[in-house]
Amino acid sequence: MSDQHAALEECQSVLLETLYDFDDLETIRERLRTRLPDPSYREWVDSFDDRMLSLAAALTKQWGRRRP
Amino acid sequence: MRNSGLTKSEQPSTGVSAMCERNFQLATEPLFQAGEVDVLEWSFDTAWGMPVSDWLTTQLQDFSTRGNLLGHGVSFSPFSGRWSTRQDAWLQHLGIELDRNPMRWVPEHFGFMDAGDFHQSSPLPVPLNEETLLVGQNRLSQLASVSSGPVGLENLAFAFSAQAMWQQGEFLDQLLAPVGGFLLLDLHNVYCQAWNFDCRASELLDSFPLDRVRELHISGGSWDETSSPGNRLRRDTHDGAVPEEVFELLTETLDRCPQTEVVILEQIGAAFDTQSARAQFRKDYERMREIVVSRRASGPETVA
Repeated sequence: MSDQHAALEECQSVLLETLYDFDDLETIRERLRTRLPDPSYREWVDSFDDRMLSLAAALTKQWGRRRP
Repeated sequence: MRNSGLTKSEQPSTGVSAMCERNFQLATEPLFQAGEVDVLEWSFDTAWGMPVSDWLTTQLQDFSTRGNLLGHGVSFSPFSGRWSTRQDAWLQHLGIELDRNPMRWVPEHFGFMDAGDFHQSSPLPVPLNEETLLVGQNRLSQLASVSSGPVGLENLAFAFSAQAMWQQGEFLDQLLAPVGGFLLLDLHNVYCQAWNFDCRASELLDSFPLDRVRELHISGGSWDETSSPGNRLRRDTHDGAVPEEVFELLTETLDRCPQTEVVILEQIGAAFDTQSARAQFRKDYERMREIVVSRRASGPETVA
């Protein structure tokens, strides 16, 4: 079916992976900037508040589950 | 018929979010026995693969038969960019649930938890752009086709930025418009965002499409232990007493949302683990019910 949105999926996938794998905010920001090819999504992650980015990383580590 | 219809003559009514844990029964049975639970909300997908007690099964059937069982999806992940076989299966399971116990409506959360290698996470916000709008509208349409009744979205507790927090309400309105969907306004989520971005909750309320609100949630939560002192972040963990500010917000919201039909008190099953926690939940419920009943009696608009 056509209900696939590659740019959004890539953004979400990179975001979850990065939040799950890293703690340091600068590292998270740098990886998001370099791994997101779409400028509008890079702009979106650049808008993130530091405190909320840190909390999102903690929440993703707590609740995130990878497919077996 | 899957959709049980609406009982506008009795709105707003009050209820609880059902949990599978035995302690939920211990906490709420006195409320059920006293006839103080008008509606029961069922987060059906959290129970898939889990044992459901005979007592809860009976409650679900009873409330469904009376048209007072409300659905509440948690893990559909309607805003995932990728449509997955897991979501196909989710919709099929929803159909089975609705055949077994018809529900008045089925809202989901405004966010995603499934992408890439991840099949589960805490629901995270999405970029508010055209692509997300299209994805969300399509998924709500799919949800509506299975539920055969009203569908809606619940506002998130978490926002990545103050700008996103302020824009959420207008975006929700655009998402809900094509399906005539409703807003499940979670007041503890509003409280979390207002606290975390240092604004007034009542001011934040203005940013939501209040004419779409048909269901309200209240709950407790917790403070993020990792945030710096003096700069604490509020989290929607559903594991504590309802803050006074949320009760105040409930009073204000009922006045401003005359289409509200139900108000639900939520708490996770694991948080009913002590007698005092169970007593506090009943106390919060009674307080919530008092507020709703008083607004019902004196509300600015009464739906006949």
